[in-house]
Order: sequence, then structure tokens, then C-alpha cells
Amino acid sequence: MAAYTGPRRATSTATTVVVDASVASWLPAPAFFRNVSLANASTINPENGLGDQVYHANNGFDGTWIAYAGGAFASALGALGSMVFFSGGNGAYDGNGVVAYDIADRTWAMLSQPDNTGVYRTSTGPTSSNSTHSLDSDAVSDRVGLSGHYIKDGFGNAYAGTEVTGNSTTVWKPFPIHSLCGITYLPPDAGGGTYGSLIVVGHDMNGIRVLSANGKIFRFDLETHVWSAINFPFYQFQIEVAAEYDSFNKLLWVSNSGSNRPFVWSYLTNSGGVLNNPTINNSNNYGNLVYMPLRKIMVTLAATPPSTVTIRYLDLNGYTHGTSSPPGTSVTLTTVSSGNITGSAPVSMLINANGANDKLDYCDYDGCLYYLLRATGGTACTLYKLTPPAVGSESTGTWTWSSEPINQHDGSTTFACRGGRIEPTWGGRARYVHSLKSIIMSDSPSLPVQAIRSSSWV
Amino acid sequence: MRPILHQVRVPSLPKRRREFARGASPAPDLGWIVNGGALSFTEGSSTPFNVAATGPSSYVAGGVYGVDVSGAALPSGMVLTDAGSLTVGSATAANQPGVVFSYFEPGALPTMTLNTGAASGVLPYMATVYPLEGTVPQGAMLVSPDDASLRSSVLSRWPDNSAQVMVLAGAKSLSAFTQTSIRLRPAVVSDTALTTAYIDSLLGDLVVNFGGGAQTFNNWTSGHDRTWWANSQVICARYRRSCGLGVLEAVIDVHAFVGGRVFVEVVVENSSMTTASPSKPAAQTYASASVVINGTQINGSGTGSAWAGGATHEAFRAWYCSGWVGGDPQIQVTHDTASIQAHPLLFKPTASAVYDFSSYVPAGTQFFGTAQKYGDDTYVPWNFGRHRWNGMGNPGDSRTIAYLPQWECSYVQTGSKHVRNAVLASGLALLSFPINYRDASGDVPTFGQLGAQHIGASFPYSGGSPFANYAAYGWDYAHCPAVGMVAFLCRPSPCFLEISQKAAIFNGLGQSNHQFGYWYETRGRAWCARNLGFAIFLTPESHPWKPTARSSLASNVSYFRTWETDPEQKLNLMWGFQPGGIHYRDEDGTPAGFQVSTWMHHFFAVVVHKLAAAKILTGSEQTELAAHADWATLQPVRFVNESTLGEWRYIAYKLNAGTTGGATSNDNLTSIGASSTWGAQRAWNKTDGPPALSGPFMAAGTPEVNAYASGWSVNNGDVEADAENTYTGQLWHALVAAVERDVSGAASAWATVNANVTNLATFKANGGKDCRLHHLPRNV
Repeated sequence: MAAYTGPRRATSTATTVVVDASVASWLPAPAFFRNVSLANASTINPENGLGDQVYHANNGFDGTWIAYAGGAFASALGALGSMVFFSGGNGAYDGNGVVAYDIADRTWAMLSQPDNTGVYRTSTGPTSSNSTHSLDSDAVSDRVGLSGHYIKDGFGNAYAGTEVTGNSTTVWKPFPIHSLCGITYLPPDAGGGTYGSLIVVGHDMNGIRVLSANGKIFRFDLETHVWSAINFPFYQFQIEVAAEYDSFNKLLWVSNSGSNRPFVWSYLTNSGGVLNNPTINNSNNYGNLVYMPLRKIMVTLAATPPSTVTIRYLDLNGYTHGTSSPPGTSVTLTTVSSGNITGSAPVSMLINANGANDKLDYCDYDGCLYYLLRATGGTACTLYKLTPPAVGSESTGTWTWSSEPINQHDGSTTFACRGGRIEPTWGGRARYVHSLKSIIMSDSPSLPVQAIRSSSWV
Repeated sequence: MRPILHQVRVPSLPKRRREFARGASPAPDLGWIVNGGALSFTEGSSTPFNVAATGPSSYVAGGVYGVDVSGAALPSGMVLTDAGSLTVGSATAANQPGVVFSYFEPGALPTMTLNTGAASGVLPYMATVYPLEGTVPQGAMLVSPDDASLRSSVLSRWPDNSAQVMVLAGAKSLSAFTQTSIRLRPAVVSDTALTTAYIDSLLGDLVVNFGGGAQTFNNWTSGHDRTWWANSQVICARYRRSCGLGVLEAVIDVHAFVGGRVFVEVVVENSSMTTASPSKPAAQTYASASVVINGTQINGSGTGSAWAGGATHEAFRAWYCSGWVGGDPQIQVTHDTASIQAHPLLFKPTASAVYDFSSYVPAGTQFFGTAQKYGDDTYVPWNFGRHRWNGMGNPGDSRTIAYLPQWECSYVQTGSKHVRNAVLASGLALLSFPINYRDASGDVPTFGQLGAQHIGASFPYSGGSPFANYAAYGWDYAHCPAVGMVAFLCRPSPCFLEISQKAAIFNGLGQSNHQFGYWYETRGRAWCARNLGFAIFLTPESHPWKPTARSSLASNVSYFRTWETDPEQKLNLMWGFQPGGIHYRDEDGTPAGFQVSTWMHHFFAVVVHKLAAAKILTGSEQTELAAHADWATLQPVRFVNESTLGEWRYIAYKLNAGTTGGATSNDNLTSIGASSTWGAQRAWNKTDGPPALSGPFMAAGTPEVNAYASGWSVNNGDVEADAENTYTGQLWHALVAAVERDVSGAASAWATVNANVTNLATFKANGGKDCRLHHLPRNV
């Protein structure tokens, strides 16, 4: 018996309510893919009519898509949300503009233009186009200055743990980055602003030296189009990082490979840090993360081809976010027994090394994970599905891989995936969009945006 | 929309128990995730999504789903029913993150009924609700899906700043002689309050004439003492005007409604004085009196005759009149019983009413000295309604005596408009008692203004000493009725709010420190603490009366707690007089040992429990109050659990509670000599062994016989039939309070009583006739 408490009031966790436009005649039928954009992204290339600009580098605007690039689905930007892209660096592209595809309007827009007034490659600027590490390879972070020019060692450590935005002397923009998995979306109710924010986790391919205590997470406010940054003295990210939003706790989680531990940050309380445990230790994989909200787990995959894909997850049930560093309790990393995984994983397409970068996405319609197998310009692609066991049985139940072919909608459209390279595949540039029950994919500024729909997404 | 596949896959996580309405925005139920945090609809679809199927689990079903004010609103046009069915409605393409769904268990959200009379058309109405803590968070208001015009104002707040007392008003198109439900929901809405200039646009002259010449008032815009409440539907403001005879004045409350109707209430008082240097107002004689607003007299004929107590208007007495400008809408607003019975200040009866209050005539009523239907009760100046006007302190189980008087309990039990009528009439009749103090500044005096003044030190008063008052229209601390709280619930009139303040002030005038001390008796401590608590509850947060009233109650709680720590304290019992080693009161000198009216303690335990549950105080003072309520309610628990067998079934008028005493003069003993357990004490008092564990409730008068074998009669808790033998009922409702508090051992005692009282069904059923004592715990 408990003391009388009166009739109780309960509140749910936050829910996103989407009303789809009824005029979705441009969507493919289930089990098909289809072109959906009204124009290609190349039509908004900031270099159009200008010739190569100082930020062109080797690949120009195309570098936003090809340079280990990624994107995020911004659910609150536009009536049905938008796909947002930011990528480059490593000699591919130095333009630091933010690109968005409005899903309802089916049009492209530059949310911010690349900085074009500074000197990018000088004796004090980034000179290497092929470095896999910091562009100046020292221990101090670099940034883009107010006039758009590269500033060596510009960040310093003065703003540890505090988010800083542009002011009269400083613009806290990231240099173009190989976004890999380190890009995600921070919704409005998590501190992202009216339309949410694009989150870009700094690492050493964007000119930000990170093998030091000078890590950065950048935030691009999708309403104000202003960048801000947080400097973390407790940073320990390495080259390939995964950023994923935890909608239950409204936290940003960051993970990467090797022996490093997860990092967590709250934009609502400006608190976070590196957890005590665990280390992800995906020695052959980048730290991919995908959040499964029904279970409150963060899934990360690992594989060394041609072995079976390993499924691991961080169990966030019971995680309490503190305000100190470390910011909260440790979380448990569980490796699913190989005996509890059935079906054929897409091992042949290399869920390893670069291959796993943000290619898995969570479908909140059926609670499964999806992986779109790249098929170069063909008439079909393969959609893999990873069905989890019952909620609460993640470590003991069976995870099942399955797949199905997705065919061209009209008999003539080819699958709009660029050819030639294994590594990028679809990465973060294809995302499940709840309101459409489709994956929206953009793999090149010269190819149309396509919607890909599972046969079960009816 | 396609059926959602994972709507049933809600993890069954442990639920966090919510303290009584703790927090304006309770943390989300960790187990209630609506469809994985995402819902998808298509424009124009009629397929609903059943939010109710997602949770929250472990909550009582049948309540109300909604969109919580702590999150984002649904896309415009979407429809969520009370039962949790969500449809897209007229919404167009949208993406709305951050929607938080809410669920209120049955009883959490009030529903009002508008009972119309002969009038019809668009009619204004006003009402009071007492929301539970957290139901209407700070920043939110109450609105209604049944009346878009309804707006609300917050008077007082819970410690978490959610609304505790709210006044509502609206205007709705209604037919004559109908009942219309108005459901209430919390929401964040913008609202622009009416101002006193609006009153000025509707009212002309108010003229009072008591034979001293016509006194006119018309400064409605700036002549107000205060605005009690205001929103876009109603403004209620306070004015005063001298009546031209001594300090006799009209205290005027104006309720001006959108649409042009105005309800004017006038209390005529002979009370005003400077509290710090008081001078008793001279009695006034007037052969006629008229109160006229906009050319219409609103007081009935003969109200100036001042018939009671002579032909004069004595100091500190008052009478009331009211009238409508623009026509009386004739709406009686009543409440659903589920919500009012869930309130911590109120209770859940053991049975539904057996009477039809549209025709029931209470026996033995003192209303006009004749029996009549509740629905026929009518306030008449100088009348005392159903209260005991002549000899409040007379012995006997008057229907005014209990935590709430009989008719107010019947309103809690039924929500009947007929009973409401009795609550209002007898609520106004309290003005006839000489408790109407008013400081010359305009408000009821504060405890701060009283300072150390008290009746024993010549602070002026009328009607005889309030200690054991048997005089006509005398107010008696040990028998005074509950004041204001239920009446204000039935109609938001500032005069009810001030009556509660007046009673609280008068009750505190017995001692210089305003504690309910030596001469108050334990029941007087209960009644005075209750009325002080009610006044604090009703008084708006910004009102200067509230802070010192809270301090006074806290002072009393500190005093009450001295019983806990007295060296003679063994049995969790408050005895007469006071602690301290020289003033222990043996109430009956005939039998051996120390006798106490435990039923007084039971009354007291119920009062402090309810005040603590309603969080009348704040901070450490509230902590003290709650601790004392735990202590007081432990007595009935120990009484049952420490019995060897069924001694607890036997309750006499005065029970033996110690070994000292027995002399003829025994009011000021220096020891009690209580045993360490009730079982041992009962055994000391009796010559025979304990009665069987199982059997009926038994009662006896005084002196208590020293054996169980004879002198006792079966007591069915029929308060009407056994007017003098309700002591089992008093034990019962104190035990209910203990169970609601879940004090140590309460569950065991409750189980023992329920398993072994053989006339329990009859006992509970008698709550259908009178539920003053027949309560049920709301947590079992």
C-alpha cells in the first residue's frame, strides 16, 4: 500500500507527429524506387557561372557527395522535412556551404554559401590535399575566419564546454569535413532551435586536429543559418566518428573506433563528457551508431570480411545524464551472440572499414534497421532489413537479416547511385523518411533524388 | 493510415510512483512511449491511431487523454478524443516534434454541470474548481472543449506553483431547465483580462440608504480596493461605501461578465476599526435599509429590521444581499463527484446517498427552526441557516459538527444542485455570527495586525465568550462549523472567501499568540486549525492576509507538536488542556485513571491529515505539519494493532488512557501514567479479558464501564439514529486518514478492522444517510 496520491497525471515521452501530404503521387509504389526531385542539386552549385572558386579543390561541388560524405534528415525543416548535406575536405572540396533538399517541395537550396573571400591554400593554410589527418598536422585546432579564410590554430581551448557562436571577431564555422558518420540532426526539443540543427562532429579530416584535447562539435542552426561550436577538453575522438541522436534522453551520442569511449552531450543543459565505459573497440570498423528508440539502444555493427557481421549495442536504459565529467553512469556494450543472428547479412558489400558508415537507418514504422545495397546504375537494388528480437530480448533473442529487390518504378529509370567506388555507397545520404515511408537518397549532384520503398512500407 | 505495427510493443518498465501531484510538469513516464516516439498520418485519412493502446500502463483506466502543456501542440486540425483516439482531422502536411501526450486518471479533471432555470439564450456562468497539484501547471489555464469562451483565473497555488484554487467563467447558449456538461482541460492560452473600466461601462449609481441619508457610489473605474480576479470573461472587484451610520458600511463585490450582465454582492457590516488600536463599533439601529444598483433595489423588504438579538445591528455582525444587472441567468453550477471526492481536502464516502435531495427533508434541522428541503433553503439576513444560532456550544451531535457539516458532506457525496443551495444559504448565514472583523484599511485584519491582542486583553468582541459559548448567536471555538471552503467551491463569491478569513481571525483571538491553546479543547484545536487552513487555501497568493495566516498555522503546528514530545506521551494521543507536566486533563473523575475523549483526537487527526495532504503550508513548515499528521493518525493504528484481540471494537465517550487520576478535581494532573501500548492500557482498565477479535462495533457512554462483558451496545455508525454514539465512526475516519497517509502499521490495522467487524456492511451503508464520518481510504 502506498500513501494516497490522488488521481495521477502521466505524460508520454516526446512524440513527433507527422502529417503526410496527401498528394504524394510522385512516390513509388511499395517495392519500387523512383526519381522524385524536380531538379538535380547541380543546378544550385555555388560555382555555377563563376568557374572554379578558391574552395573548388579537386572535385568541386561534387565533393559534398563523394568525399566520404554524409547527410542528415532534418525532420522539422520544411513541411515533410529535408535532407541536409555538409561535406568535403581532404582535397576533395573546400566549400563549407550547407546544402538542403526539401522533401515536400522536392527542390534544392543552399542554406549557406561557401566562404569565398579568404585564401585557402597558402603557406600558413592547408596545403595538403591528400592528408588523412589534420591539414596542418599539429595539435591545435584550425578554423575558418570571419572573412572565410583559413586560420591556423584558430580555435584554441578558451571555450571548453561552452557553446560559442559567431560574434564580431569570430565565426565558429568548421572547415569542410569528411563527414563520414559524424553528422546528425538535433531536433528542436533537444535544443536544436526552431527547425533543429545540423550537427557535425569534428575530426581530423576537416582540418581540426583531434588527436588532442581540442575536440569540436559544430552546430548549424537550420533557422538562423548560424554555426556554433563547442570545444571539449576531454575530447578523445579519432578519425572516424559516429554521431547519433538519442530521442529519449534528448542527447547527442558520439562514438568511434578503437579503444575510445562514448561521448555524450546535452544541448539542453550544456553538459556531457566521456563515459567511464565502455570502449567500443570496433577495430575494423568505424564507429557507426543507429538509435532504436523503442529499446533505447544504440546499435553498432562490426565485421571483418568475409566473416559474419557482428551486432553490438549500447544499452541506454537507465542511463542518467549528469552534469559533470564523466557525465553519467556507464552504459553496457553487449555483443549479440553469433548464434542469435540468422539470415544473410550484406557482407559481400563490406560492412567493414568505410563501408558501414551510416548506411544503416532505423525505420520507426516497423522498428527494424535497413541497409540499402548499392547497385551502380542498375534497374534494381537490394534493400536489406535487420529485424530485432522482442523488446527487452536484444541479447537473447534472434536478430534476422533479410533482403528484397527494389525495382525501377517505370521501367526506364535507373538506380541513381554513382558508380566507381565501393566505399561511399549510400552512407548518410540516404535516410528513411517517416512521413513518406520511404528512403530518400541523393548520391550525386548530377543524379536525381530518389525514393526507395520497401514492399512492407505500405 | 496503415495499422501501426509496434503500438503494442511498449516496454513494461517499472513505474515511478508520483507523489500527490508532485511537480507541475512531471517527468515523462519512462514506460510510456507512443509508437516509438513517432506518429504518421496522411491528410484526409479517417483512420485513427489509438494512443490509449500505447499506455501508460499501470494507470487506472477510464480517464482522459490529451496533449500536455509541457510539449508542442498537435498539428492544427488534428483531433484527440478523451478516450485517446487520434485522427488527422483537417490537418494539412506538417511535421511536429515534441508532442507530449498526457493521461489523467478518472477524477483528476473536473467536469461541471450548468443547471439552468427559466432563463435561456447565451448565459454567463461562474464557477470554482480546486485542481489537484500539477493538473494546471504554472503558465497554463483551464479551458473547455464544450465551451470555447471559458476562461479561468488562478487565486492560490500549490507549492509547485500549479493552480490550487481557480475561478472560471464563460458564456454559453443554453436552453431553460437543462443540464449541460462542461469538461475542463489544462491548456496554454492567451487571454486579455477585463478591467474595472468595463465595470464602469455597465454600472451607474449604487445607492445605500439606512436612514442616514442616501449614500451614492459610482467610481467603478478607480474606486476599487482590489481586483479579486479577472480574465477575458469576467472581472470581480471590491468596493466599499459607508452607509451613513457610524462605521456601518456596504462591502461590495462586483462580477461583470462579457455580454453585459453584472452580479453585485453586498455585505453590510458594522465592523470597521483600526486593528492596532481597536474600538468596538457602536451598535446601529435602522428601521429600513435599501441597497439600490442601477435603479433597482437588490435587498428584500424588511432586511433593515435587525430582528435577531434586538432591534440593532450589533458590532461584528453582518448581512448580505445580491442582485443581477441585466437579468439573472439562473445558472447553478455543480461539480462531478469523482473530482471533488479525489481532492485531498475532501473525501470519498462509504456509500452513495440514499436520499433524493430534490425531495428529502432533513429531520431535526435548525433552518428557520423547521425542517425543509435543502433545495428550499434561502438566505435571509440575520438568519443562521442550518447552524446553531442559539448555543453553538450546547452539547449534542449537531449536524454542523464534524470536519464538514452534514449538508456540505452531502454536496461532496452527490454534487446535487439542491444541496448546493443549502451550502450557499447556510454559508451566507455565517455572517450573522459576530466574527465579521474588518480593518479600516479595507481588508479582514491580518494576524500581523492583531499583534498580541486577544479577547482576554479587551480586544472587542460581541456575542459572549467563544470558550463554551451557550449564548444566542455566540461563536464557540469547540463547536464552530467549517467555514467557506465548500461554499466557495459552490460559488466564487469573495464574501465566502472573507468569511473563512473572518472565522480564522476570530478563532485566533483566544490567546495572545493566537495558538489554539489551553482552553480550546482538542476538538477546538481541530476546528480552528481547519478553518485557518481553509482560509489560507482560499486566499489569493497576492493577498496580504495570507503570509501571516500561514505563520499562525505553523505556530499552531509547533504548539501541537509539544504533545508528541511530552514525557507522559505514550499512546499518540492529544489530551485536554496541554502538555508540560502540570496541566494534564482527566476528563472524567468518576472511574479510576486518566480519561480522554479520544473522538476529539480523531477529529483532530482527520483535520491535520487533510491540511497536510493539501499542502497548506510550504517548506519546513509543511514538513512539520506532515510529520504531525503522521503522529496524530498513528493513534487509531496503534489502538487496533496493539489490542490483544478485539478491544479496538469498543469505543466509549471517554476512554481510559492512563493510570493517574480518578479524583473529583482532576483537571490539572501532573502525570498520566499511560502504559506503553494501547493493549496494556486497555487491560489495566478492564476487569475481564479482551473481547473476541471478531464482532460488531460497540459503543458506550460515560463513565466507561470497566468490563467488556456489559454496558456496551452494538453501534452501526448510524449518525442519525445514534446521535450520541458516533465514536466508532470517529475512530473509523481517523483510521481512514492513517491509511491514506500510509503511516506505519496502517495497512495491518485496516486489514484487521475490515476482516473482523461483523456489522461493517451496515456501518458503511449508513454513510448513505450521513457521511460526515463515513469515509473510505482512496488508496486501497
